[in-house]
Parts: sequence; structure tokens; C-alpha cells
Amino acid sequence: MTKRSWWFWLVGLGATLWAARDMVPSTGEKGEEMANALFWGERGLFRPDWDLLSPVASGLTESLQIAIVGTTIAGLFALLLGMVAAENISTPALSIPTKALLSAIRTLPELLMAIIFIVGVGPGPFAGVLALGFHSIGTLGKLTAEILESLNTKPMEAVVAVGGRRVSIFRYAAWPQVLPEFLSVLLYRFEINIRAASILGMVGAGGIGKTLMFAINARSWDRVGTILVGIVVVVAVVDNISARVRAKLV
Amino acid sequence: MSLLKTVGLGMTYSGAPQPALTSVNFEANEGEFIAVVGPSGAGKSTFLRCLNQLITPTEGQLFFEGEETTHLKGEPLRHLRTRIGFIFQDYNLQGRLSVLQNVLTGLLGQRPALQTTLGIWSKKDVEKAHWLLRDLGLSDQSQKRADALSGGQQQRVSIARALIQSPRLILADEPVASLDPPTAHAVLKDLKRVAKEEGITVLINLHHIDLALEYADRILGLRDGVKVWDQPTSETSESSFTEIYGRNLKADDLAKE
Repeated sequence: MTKRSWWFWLVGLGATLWAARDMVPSTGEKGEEMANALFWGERGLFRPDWDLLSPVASGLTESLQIAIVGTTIAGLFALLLGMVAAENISTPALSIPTKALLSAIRTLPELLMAIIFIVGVGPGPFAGVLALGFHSIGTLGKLTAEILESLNTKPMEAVVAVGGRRVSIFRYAAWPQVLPEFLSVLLYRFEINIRAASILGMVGAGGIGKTLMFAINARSWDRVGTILVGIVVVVAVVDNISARVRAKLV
Repeated sequence: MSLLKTVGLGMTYSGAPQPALTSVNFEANEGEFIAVVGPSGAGKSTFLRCLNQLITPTEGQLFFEGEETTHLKGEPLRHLRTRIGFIFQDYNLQGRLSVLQNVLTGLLGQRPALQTTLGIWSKKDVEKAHWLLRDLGLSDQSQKRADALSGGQQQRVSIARALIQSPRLILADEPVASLDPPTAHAVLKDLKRVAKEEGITVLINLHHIDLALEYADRILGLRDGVKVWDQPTSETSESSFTEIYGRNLKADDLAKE
């Protein structure tokens, strides 16, 4: 090993130890007892309450709806902002501030946005849609700009050479490249948003998170177990379908 | 009759110390098949791209069908380009669209933008595209994605895209440089055949002297952006090029590959 890699490992180990020093369980000896109740107790996580299935299903459906609408809204705005942010389409005067705006949006977490939107439009799924939509514009807009900036210009040159107008260059040379790549990142974002939408309800922004929050507050771990199973199933199914579609797209 | 004329054509890229093209006087007649030869960096590609103004020349004048086209912009420039086909070394197809759609792309400058943007093409145009594909041996490929085809097939699609324009002139920039020798010959034969059938003038950049001697009626030689040779093929031999360039261009090119 070189001198530099020794340093690398040493600094890494030091940082980990320093960080772990404060990460100790706070419950002390009661910990084991609580963990038993949490996992294996009569109302524990691993004994799901199947009577809860119907409210869980409707909560999950709402989360799914929030993710679909939020992602769609974000996609529309991201397409517009991505064009303005793309250096090869836009001008530096527009592109640079738009990129800065997109990174600023990316830094604000969904939950924070949800809390802010709840103040604005009241609790419920609409606040969740706005929170997801707003947050996703940041990443989707950036990715859209990158797709546009990496466009293969050769087909575009060919349409210029046959005397095509700008709209034809876009429609026949650029769009066929942009559309599948854009849909692919949109679907990927949807996979992320379905996860986010399942906890938005914890702050009151609709979806299964509300049911989850109530169950946790009531220490009804059996209910929490049912909800977690539901979330895992929905997220896994969505991930699987979405990944298959994305593989076909590109 | 003269179809294309350049008078003192020159081009200097911004920031470049040397001009890429220096006062080229050249005239192409109807139906001629002219090869433009020279080592890489001789200005062949710049010359061709100046002719349909993919690159705007910085000096001299251009004439097409007897009219000056040097300073055309906007609609008139688009109209000029509809009458000139351009064939690229890398085919420049939209790989995600079908072969048929790529051929129809050749008509984008000549059909209403609203109609083509909605993807509506007249029966006549689609039939012509199919006819051209059949003529170039691609009748089974029309519905495939363009990037599923071999290099030789893709270059034939781009020839069909140029032909559907019903052009007076085709500019071909190293059209066979990315193809293996047998495929290169087959594509050049096809290009020459259709050009002669339709009476289209062809200017073709080739850095293989032997290909130029085999297919062209006339050979234009460039060196460092200057015209150094402009003679019928019958007056040209490989040794004339050894004389002009001080080395055997053919052997040099083969060594590079």
C-alpha cells in the first residue's frame, strides 16, 4: 500500500470512530424488554393485524396517487425548466440562474416542503402532491438539462441540411432522443416518490403515513407491521414494473 | 450547363491562424460525378459544407443554377438547401426512428411544418420513400429502427433521404470512409447509378485515390485549402497525385487504417 492510501484508511477509520462515539442506545437495560415487545410481543411488528388491511389499502392507494400526480406535475415543469437550463439550447444569462434555482430546490427535503405547503393549502394529499412535485422539479430539471446537453447533434445537422425548420429539427432529430431518456428518469423519480409519499402523511400531507403515524403513537406495533408489509409490497411492485419499462425505453 | 460555381471561395474558422480554404474557383456541370480528393486537413469537408452553407464562407461568391446564393439567410437559404442533398460520413440518421421515417426526413424542408410535425405524410411521399428503399435493396427494412441496420445499409438510407428531396446536387462528405472496402464499393456504385439515372450532379469527398479514379468523371484536388488539380479522370493517374502531394496518397491512407 502506498503512503497515501494508508492515510486514507486512517482518516476514514478515525472519522467513523468519532461519529460512532455518540451513537449509543439511550434505553439502557430496558432495551431488551422493549425490543421484545416491539418485534415479538402479542402486538408486535411480526404479528401483523390483518383486520387493518382495508384502511391500509386505501392509504396506500392515496400515497400512490400522490406520487403519480406529484411526479407528473414535476415532469411538466422540469421539461420547461430543463430547456431553459440546458446550455446548448438556452443562453448563459438564463441557463446559469436556472441551474442555481434547480439546485436550491433540490436541497429542500420533501418533508420540509410538505410542512410548508400544509400551512399554505391545509393538511391532506394536495399538500403532499405539491411537496413532491416541487422537490422533484429540482432533480428532474437538472437531469432533463443534462439529457438535452448530451444530445447527438448529427441527426439535427441532417435536418438543417435538407432545409428543415427549427420545429422539424426538434420533432425529427431531438425529440426521438429526448423522450425515452426523459421518460426513463421520470419513472425513476416516480420510484423514489412512491417511497416519499408513504411517509408524507406523518406530517399530515396525505397517504398511508397518517395511518402509520397513528399506529406508532399508539404503540400498536401489530398495525405498524401490517402497514410496513403493505408499503414494501407496493414499493417492490412499482420498482419492478418501472425497472422493466425503463429497460425497454433506452 | 453550369449548375454550381464558386468564385474565390475562402473560409477561415474564427480563431484559426490559417484559412481552411483559399480562393477556390470551381464550376460543376449538370450530371457530373466529381470527386474531391486530398489528404485529411486539405479542406475537402469545409469546401462541401460551404456549398450548402452548413458553414458560412468568409470570402468569395457562390452561384447555384446561375443565381448568386452567397449571402442567403432564413427562408431563401432553407429553400436552397431543399435542392441540395447532403450525405454524411456517419450517416446522421435518427437511430430511434424507423428507416421509413428517416427517408421522409429528406422532405422536411418541402412540406408544411404543421403537417410533418404531426407526423402526417401524403401517400405519394410514403410511396416514393418505399420505392427508393426498394431501389437501394432495403425494401424489407423500412419498419426497422435505423440504428438496427448495418453501416452500409444506414448509408443507403441516407442516400434515399437525399434522393427523396429530388435534388439537383448531392454533396457527399466521405460517405464510405466508415465502411469496409466491399461495402464501400457497393454503396458508391449505388450512388453513381442513381445519380446518373436522375441526372443529379454529385460532389463527393474521397481520400482514397483509387476509389476516385474508379468512379468519378472529374477529379478536384485540394491541398492546404488550395485547389491544386481540376481535370477529367481520364487525364488523372495515381502518379499525378504523387507529384502533387509529394507522396503516394493511396499507400499513406492504407497505412493509417
